[in-house]
Amino acid sequence: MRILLAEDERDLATWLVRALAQSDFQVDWVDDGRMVRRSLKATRYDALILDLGLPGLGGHDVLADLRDADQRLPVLILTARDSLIERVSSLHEGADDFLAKPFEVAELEARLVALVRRARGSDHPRFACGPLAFDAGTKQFTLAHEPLTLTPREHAVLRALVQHSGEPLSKQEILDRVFSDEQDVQPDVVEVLVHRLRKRLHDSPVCIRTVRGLGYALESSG
Amino acid sequence: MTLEAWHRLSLRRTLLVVLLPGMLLVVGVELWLTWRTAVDAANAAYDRSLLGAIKSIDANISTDSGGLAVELPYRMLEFFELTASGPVYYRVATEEGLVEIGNADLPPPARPLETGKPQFSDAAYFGEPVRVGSYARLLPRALAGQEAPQRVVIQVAETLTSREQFTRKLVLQALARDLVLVLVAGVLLVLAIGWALRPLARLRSEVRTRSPQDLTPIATGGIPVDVQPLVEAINHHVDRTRRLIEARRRFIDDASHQLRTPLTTLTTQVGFALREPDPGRLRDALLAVRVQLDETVRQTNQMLALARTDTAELVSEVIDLAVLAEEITRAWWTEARAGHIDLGLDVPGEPIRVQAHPGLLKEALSNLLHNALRYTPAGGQVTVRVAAEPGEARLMVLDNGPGIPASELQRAGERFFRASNASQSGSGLGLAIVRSIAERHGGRLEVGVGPQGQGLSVAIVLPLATPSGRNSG
Repeated sequence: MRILLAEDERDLATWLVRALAQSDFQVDWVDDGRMVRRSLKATRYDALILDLGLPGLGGHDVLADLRDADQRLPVLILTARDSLIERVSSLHEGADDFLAKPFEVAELEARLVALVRRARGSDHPRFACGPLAFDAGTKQFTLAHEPLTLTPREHAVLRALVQHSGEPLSKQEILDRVFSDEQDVQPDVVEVLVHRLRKRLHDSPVCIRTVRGLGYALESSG
Repeated sequence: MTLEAWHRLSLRRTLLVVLLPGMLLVVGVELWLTWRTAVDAANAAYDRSLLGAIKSIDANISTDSGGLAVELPYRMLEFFELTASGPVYYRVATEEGLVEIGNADLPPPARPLETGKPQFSDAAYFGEPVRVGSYARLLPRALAGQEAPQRVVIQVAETLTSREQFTRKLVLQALARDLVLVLVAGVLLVLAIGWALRPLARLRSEVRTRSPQDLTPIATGGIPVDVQPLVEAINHHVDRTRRLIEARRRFIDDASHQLRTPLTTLTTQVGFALREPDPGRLRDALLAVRVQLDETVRQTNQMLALARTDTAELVSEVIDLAVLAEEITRAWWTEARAGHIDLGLDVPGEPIRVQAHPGLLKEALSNLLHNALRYTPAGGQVTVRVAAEPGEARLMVLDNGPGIPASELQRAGERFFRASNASQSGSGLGLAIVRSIAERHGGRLEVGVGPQGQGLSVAIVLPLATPSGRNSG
């Protein structure tokens, strides 16, 4: 999953990026509210973690700005002020979830996964596509209830596809969710990984369809 | 009962305890005066009729026979007894008492008689109180056997029954009148006290029924002018309490916010470390946890220090700023050296004395040096300078680090304020602590641009100790 983190505390942000990376979240960090819009335009993110006390443009303003632009991106608010008023007003302004500092990384991750899942709407209540299912808790894929063994990169690509099952993802978007910015990789890697995944899913109703000009989409004929 | 105990009594009781006996005393005095007046009036009236009796006896004295003879005006005496409503006694005698007519044992006049001047006195006759009127005059001729004319003394006495009836009647009338007055005044007094104290009772119930959180001023409408200053004083106190609580609440709010961020960083670091299989990165994480813990501890201490400087009792003595500056600068020199920063001291030759709490002032200077060394890059310069100006002493820390943007200089020293160009994590409390300490000493904090228009200059400006204030060095 690709996440944008807007947080002005350098130490906290650095360690959040590292801790989330352990669970295969690709996190980009900005420390100024004005940079949130720009980052969202440049990259397609699955969720935004927003600290309310941002310099430049405050968290509330960033949120209002986003909702004015009709951005449906799930937003999770981080704040050290966990008063009821703060929570209620944040949710009214269009936040999807609210987490008060200090929090456990595990809870943040669980909430992010839940947010992304909810954002996919009621058609896709779980990360699943036909007999292929992804358990966000154990981070395991199952195919017809049988564990599916994958390499970490295959795992990451399939996860990106299952999170957006039924809609096409471009090679770049898949890359963004599989590799961090520091890793220098060619888009062709995605083709190789998709090819390998297709082999693994060969005997099942699940297939990865190539959508011309748009990328790949995970579909199930079963 | 002590005076204090008196003041503790309720207003109602105090007023009643003072006013009711007071009124009774006034009535008593008034009755006594009435009695005195009545007695005087009765004496004046009755003495005149007594004198009338004396004169009519006098007119009937004759010495024609060579002796003393009186033809008693019986009719008149009878009439006289009627008005006196009791027996009337008389005595006519020569001065030496050789010749006596009438009731011989009537008491003699109290004082020597003057010729032609009647004298009246109270006396007892046969155990009965009587009023005696006495009169003396010179006989026209000498009595037989006497060489010279003598004085004749005429005395008439009457019992006091009638006079006493007269005065008793007057006094009883006055008593009845006074009792009615006292009764009416007492009732009015009780009503007036109750009525006057009613706003106080209302005030009491209003204050009592207030919720503990209610710190709005008490309404002064309908409260007597005498009590208004009290209500205003209470309101003033309430307002001060409200502002204090407001400041505390804001501080706790800010403090909790300020502590939550480093705590979140810590939980994140620990969460990372627990899941990290690589020993090298695990160690990195643990080191970062330690740095973060140190920072959190420092911020917590700063917050506690600030809360303390706000409330600590200021026990000050006269100290030499130059000595204090040197001591603290020495203590920080090693750290400056480790960071390759040129830390120097610039103090004048003579001592600069201020009245201050040395512990607090050291804490203030330490905070300034900590900031300067933290933000000044390696190779930079930090100077501690003490300077005296007329009436004021300046304790300054100058650096040539990044400084604070000019637009934000004004806000430096506010609690939790952090400059937008801050490169290090911090609580935003260091300068606030220094400002609080400076203000506790009756001084101020001045933040400006450092030497040569670069870096930061922070000055604690304190009033110079007056020579009379010197008691130690």
